[in-house]
Amino acid sequence: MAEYKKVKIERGPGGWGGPLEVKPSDEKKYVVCITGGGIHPVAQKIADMTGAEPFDGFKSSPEGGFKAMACAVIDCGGTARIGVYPMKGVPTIDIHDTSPAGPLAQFIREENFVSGVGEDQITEI
Amino acid sequence: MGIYSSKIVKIGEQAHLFLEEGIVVFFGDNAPEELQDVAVVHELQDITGEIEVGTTINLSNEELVVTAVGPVANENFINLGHLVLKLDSATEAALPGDVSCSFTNKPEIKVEDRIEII
Repeated sequence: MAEYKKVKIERGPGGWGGPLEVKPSDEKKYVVCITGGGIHPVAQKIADMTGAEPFDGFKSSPEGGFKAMACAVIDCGGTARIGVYPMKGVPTIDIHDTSPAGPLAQFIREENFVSGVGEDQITEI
Repeated sequence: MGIYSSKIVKIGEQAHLFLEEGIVVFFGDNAPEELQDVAVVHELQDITGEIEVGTTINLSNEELVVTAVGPVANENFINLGHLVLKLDSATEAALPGDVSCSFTNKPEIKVEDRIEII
């Protein structure tokens, strides 16, 4: 059994939603990054602090699919990814300053989504 | 030589939710399944320039003209093959990833149709 730690992720100065508390488990052990260019520093930091495994979700899907995701880190411009991961039940962290919009806005809540997140918004609890 | 030329290979099961609101969400055919579900999927090709106000986009034989480009739109397109077209003729992008367009007729998008960004 791996040891996992909990982190708090707050919205950035121009962001929306949160705070989220993310604690991975053996069942939810991946911090899945769906951004351009591999693992974003925000995803890496969450993984480092919690003991979870960073995973490039644009290249492949983790074993176990959405159920295995402790959280998803996105660089969404506001329409699609912002809703897809909350809809699938995955706590979602957007590095851009976005708020609920688009046809999937109904799935986006302060309890499952936080935006404007940089490395400074992640703290250990 | 245009910025991008490709064909539509799939229309995701939930893409209609967006299309009904005049939003075309594109992802490349390398995107994960959950994103292809909400997207019009194109066969990923090389992207050879940036989309700007005034850029012409031919989609399913309808001509669209770009009226606004959000600050992260080109970055998303280049990194992920991801493009959000809004058929709203807006002169200011409402969201950071938006590419707003004016149009004469709304494109009726089908598999095998082409997207040409000129």
